[in-house]
Amino acid sequence: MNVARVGIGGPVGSGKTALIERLLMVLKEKNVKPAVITNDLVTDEDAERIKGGGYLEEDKVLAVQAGACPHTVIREDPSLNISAANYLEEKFPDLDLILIESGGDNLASTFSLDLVDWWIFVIDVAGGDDIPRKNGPGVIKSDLLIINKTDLAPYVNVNLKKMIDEAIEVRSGKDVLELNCKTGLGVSEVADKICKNVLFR
Amino acid sequence: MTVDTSKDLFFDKIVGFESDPKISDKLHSLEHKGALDIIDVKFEDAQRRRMRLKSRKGKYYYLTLSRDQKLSNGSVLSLEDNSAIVVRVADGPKIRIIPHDTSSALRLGYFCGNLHWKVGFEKKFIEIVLDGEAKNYLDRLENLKDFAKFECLEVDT
Repeated sequence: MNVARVGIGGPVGSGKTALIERLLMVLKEKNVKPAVITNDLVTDEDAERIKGGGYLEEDKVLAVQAGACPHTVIREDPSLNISAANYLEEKFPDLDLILIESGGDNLASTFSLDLVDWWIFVIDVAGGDDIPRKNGPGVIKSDLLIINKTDLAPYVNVNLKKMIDEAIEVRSGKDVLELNCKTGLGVSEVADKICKNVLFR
Repeated sequence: MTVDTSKDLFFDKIVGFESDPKISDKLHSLEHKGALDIIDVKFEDAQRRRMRLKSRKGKYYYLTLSRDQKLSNGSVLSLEDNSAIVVRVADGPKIRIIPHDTSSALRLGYFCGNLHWKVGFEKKFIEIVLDGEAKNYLDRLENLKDFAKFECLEVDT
């Protein structure tokens, strides 16, 4: 059991599933063999969306239903997700990477390093440019912070440069990336970070 | 960055522990010959199974441990006749909370759990394993002083 596991967390609607859809296309080009685990409250919504998009064979997408606050199953007791990841590793021995998407949560959400090797936190400009200043553990402790939907900044009165600068400041030098899942801007950089940090390619 | 994927740079298992007398004797001998290299791992990173590591001798290695293994202070990643690599994990700083009575102890236990803090329980006190600055924890505990009687002690291990 040593396939790389990467967590993707962030608030509801920040673009976690959209990032995974885009990532799957880019990872395929990089010859990386992934599987996906989604976490939803009491449905399989995100897993069905990824399956429906045809980005990956359907049996390489598993859904976990948290039944409660999403962080409970990625941090406090991640055993459901660990079981799902172990199942995928056993069923598909040639996997390189398992992406584990958290259900949409608050800024205090973090991943247990018993579950993942490295994790990403996704926020978006429409959530407000004050998010980095709020010092949420997700923003501060994640290995990579992504600011998504950058094209919307002018429409939601967000000073994107200031938001990015403040994010860099609170993260003590850890990576911050701009992303636009609509156009694909930044997706390749995210894939490169995963390849460098956990796949060592 | 171009990643050098030479096989000998990868560690996929812990081969032993420094505390094992058979191993510690050998490590001691290698250390005298200058053949022991150390990898310092931050307390907060010790749970990771996959990461890039730099040794004190300036060499880079890649960790790809299986899920049933976890680094700890003294984990030995390589032990050969003429070289060895050992991991040092510094035990992180803690805050010791000493409750004055049973009711305060219950309140403190609930409070720490509610904030998802990592704690160790001892007979007379609770120790919070810090993940970040002590001030962040002490500020929260200050809010509890109207509801529980306790004292705090910063423990730098």
